Amino acid sequence: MNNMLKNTLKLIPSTLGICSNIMFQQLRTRWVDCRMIRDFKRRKCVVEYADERLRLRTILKNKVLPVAIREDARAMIMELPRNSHPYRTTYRCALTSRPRGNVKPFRISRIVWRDLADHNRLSGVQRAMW
Amino acid sequence: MKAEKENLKLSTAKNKKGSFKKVVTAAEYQLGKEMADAIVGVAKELEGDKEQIKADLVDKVASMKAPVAEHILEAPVKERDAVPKEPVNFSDLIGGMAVEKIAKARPQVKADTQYSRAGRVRGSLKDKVDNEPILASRRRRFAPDEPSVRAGLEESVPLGIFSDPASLRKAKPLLPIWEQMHQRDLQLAVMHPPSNIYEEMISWTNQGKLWKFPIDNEQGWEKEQNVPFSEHIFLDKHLQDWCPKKGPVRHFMELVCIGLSKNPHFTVEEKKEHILGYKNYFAGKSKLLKELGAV
Repeated sequence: MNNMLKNTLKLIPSTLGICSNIMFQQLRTRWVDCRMIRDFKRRKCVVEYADERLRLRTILKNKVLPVAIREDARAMIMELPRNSHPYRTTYRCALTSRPRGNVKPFRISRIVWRDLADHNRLSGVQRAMW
Repeated sequence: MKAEKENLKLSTAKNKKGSFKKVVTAAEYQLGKEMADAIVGVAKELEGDKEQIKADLVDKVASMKAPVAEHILEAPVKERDAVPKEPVNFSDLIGGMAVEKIAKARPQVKADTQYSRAGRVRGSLKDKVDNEPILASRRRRFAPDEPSVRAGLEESVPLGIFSDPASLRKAKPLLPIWEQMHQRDLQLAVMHPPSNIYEEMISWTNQGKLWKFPIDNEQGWEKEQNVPFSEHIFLDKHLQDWCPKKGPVRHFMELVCIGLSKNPHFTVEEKKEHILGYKNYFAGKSKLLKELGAV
């Protein structure tokens, strides 16, 4: 959230002599930060090449076809763009873009999760007590 | 100023103690002190019969004001501001003015048309015709200017920007988002928000957010409803045309078909596309396959 505010403040040109405390409201666009946008672009690439990748992988990993074919498939798969590899995507928090400590089924970070759960915004989530 | 004001006075009055009471002029009584001062000032500015100008101005302003209610007129006035109780001869003091018009409500329309810009223009033009002397400043202010260039719609050669001007009338305006929003407005006008939780849950069910009863595991997957299961399972027919009858390629493709037949998540089209993809791949590697002796 702080990052966002700083980014928005940078937009105001200081040459105008306006006090940079004009924007007190949080700027909420679709993407929290650039890392999120990059991750989205990678995911798009993954979807684009998903079928091709799947077929090449099956040819690579099987033991039925001759080795030369498998080697050829390996060469082909390495020629594909790097961002088509699903391994390059990160499961970021949808609200804060936190890369680690995310609760996967909810797609949010543990901090946001806790906040929402305490305010009764998560269906079926309750404070543990036993 | 003082002398002129005296003409507007009702009378000078002396109370018992001999000092002059505050005298209220007719204009002040009708319109207020500020207006009376303004009228006097205006009369001073303009040339002509000052008394007549003052009288006219008072008349016009009074006609525009709302008529004073009877009970206000008859209300007991404070002694300090009281009007003298002697019978006042209005017609004598305010030369020819009809003061009783306070009670009458002049129709607003007449005032508007008479004193609007158009009315003033007409009046000034009439004055022009009557050859009365008008001040240069007034003329500039009120008389309309003559147009310097006369524009005709069909005098010059057309530019030819539009090849078919008649079709423009039929053409739809390019406002797709406007249309969408208009449709949305119409829908919202008819819809109302849910009045209770039951209606809310009904709307959720219709949107697909809630399961429908009786529970159907394939809810939301209407695409493949009409496709028989045999098409999902028996995929050998797609291998008939191109795949060799024996060899590692056949072995591999049969494994692929078994795998796809067990996969419930793909649609039939997607499975066909996968098999086609393999076909294209092997077609591209036919030279290599022949060298290896796999084909």
